[in-house]
Amino acid sequence: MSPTMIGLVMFAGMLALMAVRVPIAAAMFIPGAFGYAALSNSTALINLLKGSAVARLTVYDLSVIPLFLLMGQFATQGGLSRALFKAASAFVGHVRGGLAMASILSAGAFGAVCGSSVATSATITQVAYPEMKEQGYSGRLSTAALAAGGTLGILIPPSVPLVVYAILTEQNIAKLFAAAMIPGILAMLGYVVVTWLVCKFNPQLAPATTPANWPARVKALLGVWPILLIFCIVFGGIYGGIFSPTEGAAVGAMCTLVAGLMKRELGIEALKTSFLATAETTAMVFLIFLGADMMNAALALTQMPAALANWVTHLQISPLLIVSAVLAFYVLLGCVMDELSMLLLTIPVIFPAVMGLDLYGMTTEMKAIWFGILVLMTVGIGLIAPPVGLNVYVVNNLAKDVPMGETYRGVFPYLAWDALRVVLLLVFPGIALWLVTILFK
Amino acid sequence: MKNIHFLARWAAIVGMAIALVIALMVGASIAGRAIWKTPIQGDIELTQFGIALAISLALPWCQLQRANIIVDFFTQESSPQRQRFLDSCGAIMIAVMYALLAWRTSVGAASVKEATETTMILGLPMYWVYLSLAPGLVLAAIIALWQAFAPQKLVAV
Repeated sequence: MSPTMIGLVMFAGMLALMAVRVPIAAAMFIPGAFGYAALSNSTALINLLKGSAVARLTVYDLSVIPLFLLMGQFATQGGLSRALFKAASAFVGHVRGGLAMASILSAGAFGAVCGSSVATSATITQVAYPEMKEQGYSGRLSTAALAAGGTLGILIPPSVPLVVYAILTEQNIAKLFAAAMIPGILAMLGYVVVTWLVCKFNPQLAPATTPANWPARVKALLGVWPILLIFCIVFGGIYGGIFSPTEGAAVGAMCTLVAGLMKRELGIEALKTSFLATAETTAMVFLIFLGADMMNAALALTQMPAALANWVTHLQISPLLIVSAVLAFYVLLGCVMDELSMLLLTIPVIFPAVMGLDLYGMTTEMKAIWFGILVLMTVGIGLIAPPVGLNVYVVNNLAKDVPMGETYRGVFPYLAWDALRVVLLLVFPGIALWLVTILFK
Repeated sequence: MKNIHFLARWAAIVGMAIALVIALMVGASIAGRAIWKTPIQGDIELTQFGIALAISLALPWCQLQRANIIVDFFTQESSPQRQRFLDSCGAIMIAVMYALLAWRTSVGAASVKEATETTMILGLPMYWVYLSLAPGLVLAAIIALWQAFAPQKLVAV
């Protein structure tokens, strides 16, 4: 068999295994291992495996993942999400749909200390959903706003998928975080506007309530200073050149722990809960990494990524069209796969091809950063789009009285804004790159 | 069975506690660097190895919780029995993956020991790093096998 043939068989095997519920990590690892042995020999395979776990788990830049996850968990267990929602609803709660807007704003703010969309959705749902339900908000609007708001967890830095992208493409994590900032804020504000529009056209979705008075607002605002301070310390430190992203994550985890302890919400039990939740996600992420490593090592032997890149650069099609096609492919893939597996599986193959294209005459680094943010946004669409939006599942699981179909119906306007935003970034790369050029002169 | 659950749970808690200690160490190192211009020697190495150990200790808990991502899009309509059967097959495959990695990492430990490889800054024996990853991988493999052959008995609490 030719190497390309082996590569294709391997790929088909992987997809078949995934389709029958084999955990994604094993579905990549096992065909990858067979493929690697077939392309070289079994001695080479077992020699490679001697170091593969150590090589992957000791990557210094990847150490940010457990640390950022720990920080997010401390923020969750430490009651910081409740303070955020209180503050946001004190300001916008009285507007029609205001509590839905407040959950989006607090999800965005929580995203600034949490790198996972699932954790963000779950946390904010727990504090915001009961409140919205009590005020008579429709299940459709409240769950949809929460699911969409949760995607801000990965768009607003820190972001676990963005770290994964940075490692896979050997880009600077700090620059990618900077590039995600403005698109993240745009996403958040857009979601608020979408909520406002939805409620304007369909007022029975949410009742209007009386505004909070100013003393109450000021008091609520004082409750969020820890998050603000932590965000400033972590990102100020990273962009001020005081420490690396990994160190920033460590400092962030430490500060969040202190904030939770000071609020007297982080006892021994809460600490254990945050450890276990962090352990679960950390292991899940790294196991997929280990599976993808095996697959990618075998794919590299087939030379297929290089051949694909070569083929794509010689296509007589507009480069922007190719990028759009890639993004469309991600939307489709997002229907059945989670964001991390998607990135780990496709980026090593697709990234070299995209880098070979001439896009607005950008440098390779700028292209890599821009493409990363595009992919991140597109992946965010998969989190809330039917048939399997992970965030929709998470929110719906916590708001059991709302049928899944209602949430999907409610998510639609938010999806429209997501799609529009991807197109905007496609046409105006500056949305992402401007802040990078300012911060890294 | 209770013992395995206990082990996995405490491995995860200890693993993440190690991550937290690393975070404190990094904080101390940054403070040392900023104030006294003396960071902790080998802080990067300690972060790398401590976090690697923490991740490996988290694996059994993740497996016990069946938290590994699967694609259930194509099998949503299948009967529960069929889904259970497929999940058992999946658990065997992931057990193979853990076991292969555990075995090869231990062999890796033996070969770097023979080569007396040490870390660059602290000069720690490199085989410690390799060996430290094995327990988590082994325990995860055992749990996955258990889930494959006695799925009813292993309900995560």
